[in-house]
Amino acid sequence: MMEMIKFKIDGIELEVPKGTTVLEAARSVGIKIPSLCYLKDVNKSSSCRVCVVEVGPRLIASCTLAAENGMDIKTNTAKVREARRTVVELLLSNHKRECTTCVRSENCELQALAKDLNIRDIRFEGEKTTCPIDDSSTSVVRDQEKCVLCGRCISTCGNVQSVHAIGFANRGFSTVVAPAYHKPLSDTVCINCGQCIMACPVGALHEKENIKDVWNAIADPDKYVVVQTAPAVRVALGEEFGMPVGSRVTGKMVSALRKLGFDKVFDTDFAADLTIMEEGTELLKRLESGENLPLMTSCCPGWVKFVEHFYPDMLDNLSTCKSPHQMEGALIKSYFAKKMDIDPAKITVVSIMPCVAKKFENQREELSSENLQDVDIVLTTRELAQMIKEAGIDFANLSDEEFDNPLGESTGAAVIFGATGGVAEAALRTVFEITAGKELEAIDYEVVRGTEGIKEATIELPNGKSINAAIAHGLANARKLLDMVKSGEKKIDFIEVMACPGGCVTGGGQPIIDAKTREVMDVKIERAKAIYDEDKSLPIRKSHKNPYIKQIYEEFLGEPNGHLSHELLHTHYQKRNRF
Amino acid sequence: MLEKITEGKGTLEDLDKMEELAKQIKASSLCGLGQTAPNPVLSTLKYFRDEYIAHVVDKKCPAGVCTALMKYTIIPEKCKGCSICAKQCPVNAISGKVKEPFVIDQDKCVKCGVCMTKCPFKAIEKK
Repeated sequence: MMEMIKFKIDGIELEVPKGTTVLEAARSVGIKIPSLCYLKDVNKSSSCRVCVVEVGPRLIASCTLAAENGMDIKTNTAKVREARRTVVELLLSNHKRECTTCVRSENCELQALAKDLNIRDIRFEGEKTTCPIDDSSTSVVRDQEKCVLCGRCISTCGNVQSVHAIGFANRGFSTVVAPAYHKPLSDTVCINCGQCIMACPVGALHEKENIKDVWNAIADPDKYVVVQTAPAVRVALGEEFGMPVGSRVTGKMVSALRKLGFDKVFDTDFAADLTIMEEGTELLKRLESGENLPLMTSCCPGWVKFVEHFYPDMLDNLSTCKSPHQMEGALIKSYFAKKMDIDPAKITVVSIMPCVAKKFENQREELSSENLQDVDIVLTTRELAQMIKEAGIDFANLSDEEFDNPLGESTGAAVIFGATGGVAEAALRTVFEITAGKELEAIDYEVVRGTEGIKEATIELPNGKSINAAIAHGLANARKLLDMVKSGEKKIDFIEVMACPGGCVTGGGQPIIDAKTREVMDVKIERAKAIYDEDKSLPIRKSHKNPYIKQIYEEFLGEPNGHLSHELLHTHYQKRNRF
Repeated sequence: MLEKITEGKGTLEDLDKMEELAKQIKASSLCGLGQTAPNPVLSTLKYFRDEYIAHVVDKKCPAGVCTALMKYTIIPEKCKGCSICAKQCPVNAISGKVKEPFVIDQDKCVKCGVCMTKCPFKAIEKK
């Protein structure tokens, strides 16, 4: 039996399992201890000192203080309140306080703390950190003058993603968060996943904004502006407008996009179906030849760059498929342009993605044809919400609208691309039916769903063969999995990886979830639930049954993995250095 | 805040603020360095508060250390008018007639102290 600890907080007798921290115990009985650097399961450094409590004569940070028998904790004394106030005032005294124009205004944990602690003036104006903004990266902008040195980004980058692109540099007052050798972020192993942005309590890290480019394109009468949306956007966008986590707003989103002035609203899900056709075929071919197994998915640009940096010897294992929105972009500028008789050079493709790594991906040279990038601009879910607000659209009261066709029709299999395990499940549905040659009744592969770091499943195919599939999310898990595959410990045929923990639903471009919400709910589960509900609600749930997919192969592409698909829908990768 | 006080621009509130800040840092710091770094400020405030008050209220540095509050003056009774100090002054702040007492122009003086070390009659004082 687990050892229990008995102690008191503010006079309340408590019994908690050994190892529980005072902070966790207090919050379990509704005592609100403010905190800043503490991020559940990610960061416990007791560096910010905001969560101090009185233990006997001393003030101790409660986030790392394990409860002990007989403790008598006080969380609300004059001493505690004064100490917390001073700590936050000192943080503010070295903070670039441009709150009204800050991207995190009203969504900033430091701002909320200052408000809660009733801080009305900063008594200690002193020296301030001066550090130029690092906007070298295509995806992430770093502003050290707003940094509170909580270390949440560093823990996320190092422990959750195992990338270690940033760390603390210098000592004392000169301490900053920086890449090794103070290099610009674009010259590092940073894979642009943006999980650091999700971890940052303030505005020190944010995505590189491309909203103006989109407004300009829409305003340009010579441009035909086409937008496409990723599966995970529709289950998170509503949160930016006060809706509960996990609200599905597909119809409203389409309606809002039309109101913003886009000429066509397409769905990346269509290309996700196409990805399944291409990648499924690729998997069957590789299984037959036995070459380059395991096949690794290539939908996630963070994961792809991770492999290029850390596992360059496994580049041949990556599927050669472009990621879905790049496929969609390529088709818009070829198939669609031809069909509508529009000059591809006049088309601007905008992708709405839950991801900041896509902002790097769409600028890759190899993802273009005839000097035209497949996708011109990538916006995050947050940026789309910003545009909708800017345009004065009453999002909550919009009526539902449908995507445009032919590149807007999709199946349930495509929707689940947004959650970890989704790509694998969608591929399995199609691969199974192609080999079986008949309809499949039970299509919910529960084994590949869920939020365990690494999931494994063996699928028996009707032709007597079987596929060993493994799914990882969060790159530390992916690294573990790859190391097991390389050492020969595991024999896997098919690997799906999404760089962000939980998959795209909790990607680096999604609405930011503060530390408090992370404690009370698992947002990745809530949003994934919405994704699977959307899948269930769709009449067609297998990619190869999408009528428009059949049509595009008949009219244009020929066959999966055929000559034209290779030209338009497939790509190659490059080795990248670690430093 | 200390700098402000040494420049004679401090206020009595600054003393309270400084004391409070030092106590808070001491109480809430994670490491021993943070817990002890405020000690010099706290102990001087405790044992030498009159010196702080002299800086703040009288704008004087009794120990003669704070340059901004110091003043070099020539004691006319002792000065023989030898002009050595005027020749040594790097900013030509000292003037006078030979064999009569010299004077220091306080606006020009940079408080380097050369005049005092060179005066053979100890006629220059620092306050």
